[in-house]
Amino acid sequence: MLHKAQAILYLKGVRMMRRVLTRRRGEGLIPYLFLAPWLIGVLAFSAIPIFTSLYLSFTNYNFIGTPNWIGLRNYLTMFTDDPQYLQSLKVTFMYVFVAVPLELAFALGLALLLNRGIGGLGTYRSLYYIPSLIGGSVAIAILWRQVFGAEGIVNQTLGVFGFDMPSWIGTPGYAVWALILLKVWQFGSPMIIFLAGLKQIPSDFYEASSLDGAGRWKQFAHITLPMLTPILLFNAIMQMISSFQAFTPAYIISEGTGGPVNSTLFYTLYLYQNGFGNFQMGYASSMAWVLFIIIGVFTWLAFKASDRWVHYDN
Amino acid sequence: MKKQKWVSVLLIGLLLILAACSGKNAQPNASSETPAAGGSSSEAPSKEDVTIRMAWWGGQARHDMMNSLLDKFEEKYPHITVEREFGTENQFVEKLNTQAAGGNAPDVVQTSSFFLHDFVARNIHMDLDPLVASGDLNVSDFSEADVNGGKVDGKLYMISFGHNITGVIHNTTLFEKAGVPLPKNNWTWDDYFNTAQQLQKYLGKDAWASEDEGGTYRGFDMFLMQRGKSMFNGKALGFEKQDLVDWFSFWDKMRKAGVVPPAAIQAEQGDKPQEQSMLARGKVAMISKSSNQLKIFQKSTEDKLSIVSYPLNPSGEKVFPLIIAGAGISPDSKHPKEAALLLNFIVNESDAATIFRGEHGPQASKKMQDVILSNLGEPEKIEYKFVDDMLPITKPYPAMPAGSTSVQKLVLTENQAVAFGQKTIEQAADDFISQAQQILNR
Repeated sequence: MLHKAQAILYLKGVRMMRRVLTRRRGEGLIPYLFLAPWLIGVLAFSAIPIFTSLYLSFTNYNFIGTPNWIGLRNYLTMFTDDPQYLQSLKVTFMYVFVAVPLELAFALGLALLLNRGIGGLGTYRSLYYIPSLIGGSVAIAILWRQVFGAEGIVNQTLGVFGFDMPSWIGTPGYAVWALILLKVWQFGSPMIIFLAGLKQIPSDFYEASSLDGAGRWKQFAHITLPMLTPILLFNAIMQMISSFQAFTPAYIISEGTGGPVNSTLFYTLYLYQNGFGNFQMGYASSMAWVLFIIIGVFTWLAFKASDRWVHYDN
Repeated sequence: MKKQKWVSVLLIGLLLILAACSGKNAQPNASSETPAAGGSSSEAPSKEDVTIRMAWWGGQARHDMMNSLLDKFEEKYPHITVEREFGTENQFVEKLNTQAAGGNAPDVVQTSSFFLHDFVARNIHMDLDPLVASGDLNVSDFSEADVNGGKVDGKLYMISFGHNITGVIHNTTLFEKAGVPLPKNNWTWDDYFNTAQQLQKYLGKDAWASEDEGGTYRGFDMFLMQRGKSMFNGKALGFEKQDLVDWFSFWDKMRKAGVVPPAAIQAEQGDKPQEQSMLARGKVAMISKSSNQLKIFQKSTEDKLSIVSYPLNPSGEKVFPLIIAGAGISPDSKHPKEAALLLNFIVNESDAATIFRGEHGPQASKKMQDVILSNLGEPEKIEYKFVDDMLPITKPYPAMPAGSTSVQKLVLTENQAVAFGQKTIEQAADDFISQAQQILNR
């Protein structure tokens, strides 16, 4: 009885709500009232700033007075007259296209190892995940500075084996590698996703293939990898986007300079130097939009190319 | 219909609750907005409760000092509350500029000769002359150099907390061990190089006579001053390519003589805090820094430190820029009188002087210097003597245009490019000039 009464009450309630919300045109406002907290947030903190920055990117604005409309000049300067900008592009591309594949390979390798039914999986999984949580932080970047310094633990360890290395942080050819290693070290979050993906692969595939005489390597190449490709695509895109936007490690490790000799001048770091060092907000905004386009193009390319190599089960 | 009304009542009620919550913070400001009625002298501004904000930069030691200073002020003027905002120098500048662009700058803002022109251009500082005329600010005990250094285009914008001069801080213990005579004020670039070479004989392979300062724009700026030039001239560069070639060449000579650390070690050193500096760790014997930092370096080392003037060009001008640290008042301030009262307290009252103890170097007011003179420590005594000796040949710091931060960074980058052997000195100087012009014209 009670259930029935509740059900009737519920239905009445639903009907009442529906009437209140839809009966008259004037009442169409009510949904927006409910949406207001979210809507105000999106407008005030995302939409308006985004379009303001698009406008600013065509201006010369230094925080004083009103922005001056200068058309495409910022965009032209960037590609024709700013060697530091081109350097920042070079450094960023190198970082993204070396660090991301390395990180994914590492993540996949460990996921495969952890997936072999070893004991204490939960513990290992958590341990390996920790760097992803803290890797982007200021504290870790400071630690990295120490670890890869001239007298840091890395060089001391290498010294034991007779390698005499210069300061990683202080040498132009090495500094970016310290940053790449920091990124690779954060393999935990793609690893967790790979692990989840591996669990999804039905075990009968492996049983059937082993009856047909397939070895471990063949199973990996013909079952595991194809079945994981959607996850690989997802991880690759997510990591690529976050690497294009990487800022904290370069900022802390080079103390905001992007040095030595601009070898760690990440795109976002140079953008920041222009915006908040020089207060050339117009130029910084146009840099931000170019980065947005770059990320958009590479994401589109990744999806486009995925027809060729990503295998969807259904 | 009835139900619909009920819903709207509920929603309106919710909005009111939200509005009430967010409104609380604004209340104290709103109630104190009424202008300070009748407060003509600095001793008797309105007794209404007032909250003002003060922002400064510095390390932990300075934050502690400022906090106890402001506590003292609040104790003396119980109707004024001072909210405090502080951070490192870079954080401070970024935050302040963003606040000022939004019309929300703190009432009292720390500043220095390096920022003064930029802050005035950005409307972060107000003209203080009316407050001086009304007696709210008293600069009558100030030395002329401190008053002049706070002016832009003849108007006073900065009240000096103290002044300092860049000099060569050196480890006298190392000099004595090496048997090298101590440098004297007004030494020349040749003396500097020879001294470094003599020191290096004793220091061997793991320590160096000096840091590689070819990348420090403050040094380059002083080098240019001695040639009657300056880094910037309005929105353009104030020097020729040959000046930069000569500067880079001097430091290249130092590197080739092995008296400065190799490029990688210098690059890693960056701008580490005093206690981690190579000077404090006994890895270098000389470093060029502001005179007020002598006491901070001294705290981090057992060796004895001292300071002499920056090397001079014997045939050039004998002149050094005077660096003043102080504070201004924001034109957005709703309580300029109370802000002035606070500034006046910091620079003219002995209570404040005994707490602040010449943190930014000798104070502008000789009277306040006398208050603390008797209980100054050894490094401060050396510092005060150095500053007093050099004061007659100083001039106010030159103005810097927008974009100067990036141009300053270029000095560092191009010097590194030479040090790592990536560019010849000529190439580095050419690249510097073209990139600097591009940044300044952007």
